[in-house]
Amino acid sequence: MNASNPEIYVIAAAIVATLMPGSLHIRVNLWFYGIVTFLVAIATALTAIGHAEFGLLGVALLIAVLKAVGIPLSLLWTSGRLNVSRDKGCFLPAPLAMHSSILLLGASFFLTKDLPLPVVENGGGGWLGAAAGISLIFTGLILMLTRRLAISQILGFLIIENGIFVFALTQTRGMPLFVEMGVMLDVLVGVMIGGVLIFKIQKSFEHIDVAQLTDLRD
Amino acid sequence: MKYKTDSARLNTTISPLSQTDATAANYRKRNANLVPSALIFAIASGVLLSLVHQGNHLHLIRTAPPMVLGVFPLSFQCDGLASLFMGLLSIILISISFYSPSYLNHFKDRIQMGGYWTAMFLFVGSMYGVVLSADAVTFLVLWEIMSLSSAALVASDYSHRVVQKSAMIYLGATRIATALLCGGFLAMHAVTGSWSFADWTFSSSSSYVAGCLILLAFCIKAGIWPFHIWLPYTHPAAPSTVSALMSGFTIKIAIYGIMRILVCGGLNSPEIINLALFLGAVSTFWGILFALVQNDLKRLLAYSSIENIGMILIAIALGLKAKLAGLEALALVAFVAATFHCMNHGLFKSLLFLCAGTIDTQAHTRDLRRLGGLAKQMPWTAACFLGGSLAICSIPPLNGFASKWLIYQTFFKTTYETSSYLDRGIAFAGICLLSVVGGLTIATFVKAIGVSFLGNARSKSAEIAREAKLGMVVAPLFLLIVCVTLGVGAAQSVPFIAKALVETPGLQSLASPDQLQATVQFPIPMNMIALSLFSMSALIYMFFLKTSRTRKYSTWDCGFGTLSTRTQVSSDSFAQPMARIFRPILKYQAKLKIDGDDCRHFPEKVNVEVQMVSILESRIYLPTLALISHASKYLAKLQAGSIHLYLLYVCITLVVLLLVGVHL
Repeated sequence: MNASNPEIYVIAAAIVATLMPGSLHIRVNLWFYGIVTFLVAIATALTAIGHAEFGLLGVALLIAVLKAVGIPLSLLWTSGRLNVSRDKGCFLPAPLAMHSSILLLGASFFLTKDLPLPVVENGGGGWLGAAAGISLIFTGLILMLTRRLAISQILGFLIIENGIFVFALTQTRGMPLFVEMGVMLDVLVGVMIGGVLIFKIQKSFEHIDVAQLTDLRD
Repeated sequence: MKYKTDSARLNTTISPLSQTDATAANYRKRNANLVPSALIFAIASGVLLSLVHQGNHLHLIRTAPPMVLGVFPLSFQCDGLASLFMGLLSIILISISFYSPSYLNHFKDRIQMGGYWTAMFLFVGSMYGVVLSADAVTFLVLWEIMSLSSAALVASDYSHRVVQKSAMIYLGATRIATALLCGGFLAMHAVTGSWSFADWTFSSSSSYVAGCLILLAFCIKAGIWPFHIWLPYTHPAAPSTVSALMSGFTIKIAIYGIMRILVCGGLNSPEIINLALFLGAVSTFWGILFALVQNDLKRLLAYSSIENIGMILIAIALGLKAKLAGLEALALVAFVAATFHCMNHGLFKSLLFLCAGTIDTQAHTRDLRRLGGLAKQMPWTAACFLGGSLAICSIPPLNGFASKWLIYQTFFKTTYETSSYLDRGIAFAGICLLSVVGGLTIATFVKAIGVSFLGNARSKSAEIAREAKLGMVVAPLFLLIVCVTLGVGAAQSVPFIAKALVETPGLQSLASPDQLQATVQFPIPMNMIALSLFSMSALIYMFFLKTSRTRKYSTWDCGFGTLSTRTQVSSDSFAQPMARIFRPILKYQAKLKIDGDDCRHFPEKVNVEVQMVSILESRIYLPTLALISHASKYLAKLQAGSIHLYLLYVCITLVVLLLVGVHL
């Protein structure tokens, strides 16, 4: 398989992401998230240079600054304020969660190999990038599934968002700049609202354990 | 003393003021119903006048961009069939507009008039729209508005639990009907690639599934067996104006839909036609049998609607059969019979429902076991109810006779004109069925009239009932006049309907209306029949029933004492012989218990208990519903409230979708 440069970076991002479910420390997870997002930002920049689309370069810069640094810092601050540093975990023990996400990484390669993907000219899009994207989505889901704290849920959601972005980037050579900016804004707003909601939940329920929030169904 | 005069003066000064206040408020309340009623009258008479003025000229209207649904233009068409049904709706609406102001005054504390009138206008508008719509999307949208607004009208008096339950049953029935209709329409669109009714033909086997779905959907809406159970719940719960409109016209819209889509589309699947024939035949018999044993006047009328709708469906099925066999003239007779009976049933059933509403408001009950002797206190209502009953029992010269005559003619013609012996047998069985049903109809309405209007009052409230206000008398009287006119003028009205039908696109292949006269015994010698009937009745009255001198003397009465109102023939006792014969279907049980030391000769206390269960409801619908709700409990466990579980669902769905994407 001939992986292009951006593809190597997104696969690296997917591999780093699979390590996240293995740790219950929020600080470690936030570090991993920063690295994953930074790798995605590098892949975006490489794609931009490769296709001479310099709008995409701006997007890469934004990802590197806001998502790879800004969001982890703000979540770190939130966890400091709430005085939580360790997730209790649920559903699966952390090592098992990590191994299942590694398994899903393999499975996503297996799945996307035969997936009818849009053919992009200039050899831009291949199934490796799609596999990395889908693997990121799986990892995010595993993370959300096996964590109790609301902060970890937000983290899992962000990983899923990264996965969707990677999928779009490698398959369509990036979305139009404005769409990209809009998505980025959505993510930022989502994180902010999530942060505020965590404080709210903490205040009303005196914990941020989502496993205990089962009374909200009708 | 001084104090007294002061207070008296005070009273005199205050009371007129407060009185005028009260009357003003009262007047405003009455006015609140007067204005919308007048508006309905204006709309209906406007439509009627424009129909008369325009005749049956074909118009296709496609609305301009502002009046579109998404990207879809609404298209309407007025042809012969549509104008007949619009005329029927207009006539019923005119009588309801007479009836509403006084009738709704009785409900002013129980019904929210704003909501009632909003739903009513939506209902009326959508009914006109459904009749006029020329394509499936327009039809479906207006059909939905019609169903939902009528459900809202049924639930007008929603503080009662019974009303809530009935509205829910009706809503459920309309949901299923709409789902089936959607399925049928989508399938037809897939087959023909068009939404327009004009492009739809049901002559190839690829369209039979769609045809069957559409037929079943309309059967649910029309209240055909076994989908009829919503009717007897809905009509007693709804206000009489609504039940008159629903029984008079809404269920006819389903028949209109069958005519418009299936008949004009040239349905030629023998299986579907036989299915329609079977369902119609069962409905006819089932409906009238259950009508006979009802004690609630409006329930009785609702079941009788099922019978009539079944008869109309039979006529349509016979017409399709005749068309399939190439007997165009016979097909024309059958379709004319179906349409004419639709009109007639719409008229006299609204009349009867309006009269039932009058009885309900004046005697405060619809229970036949508590009514009685109303003819003395409410002569006009009694006369109208009698007229409507005569029409529904198809007594000449009323309109019911004319349309039933045509249906009978269709059957008789089928017995010797078709080549297939099976069809001949079916038609012969149909004649027998029709005669049995006719007999049961007469029994049903003899019971309804005899128990509610004759004899003595069986309750205090029936005793103090008085004739209703003018509007509530004029409305049924107007319908009665239309009924008599249509009946007496059958020689004109039947060719008129035939002409309108033949002008409808899709039915133009039928024989020309001139052939109608050659095909059936026609014109019906209505006047002669009426004249002979009247003279016979007069002769019988003069020679046999004329009351001679009344002799008064005491007789030995076996020690029973004076007769009380409870010794009259009651609703239950009238229906008992028939109910006993058909007790396996009705699940009829009568328990007789006589108390006393020597109960054989000197009964002290006689207790009769009659029990009846609707077999369809208790054996099929309730178990099915129980099964569904039981299954839903398991399904509800999916909604655990745990975020993690929901995420797991998302994850599994994603994997499954990917697998599907890979392997398909």
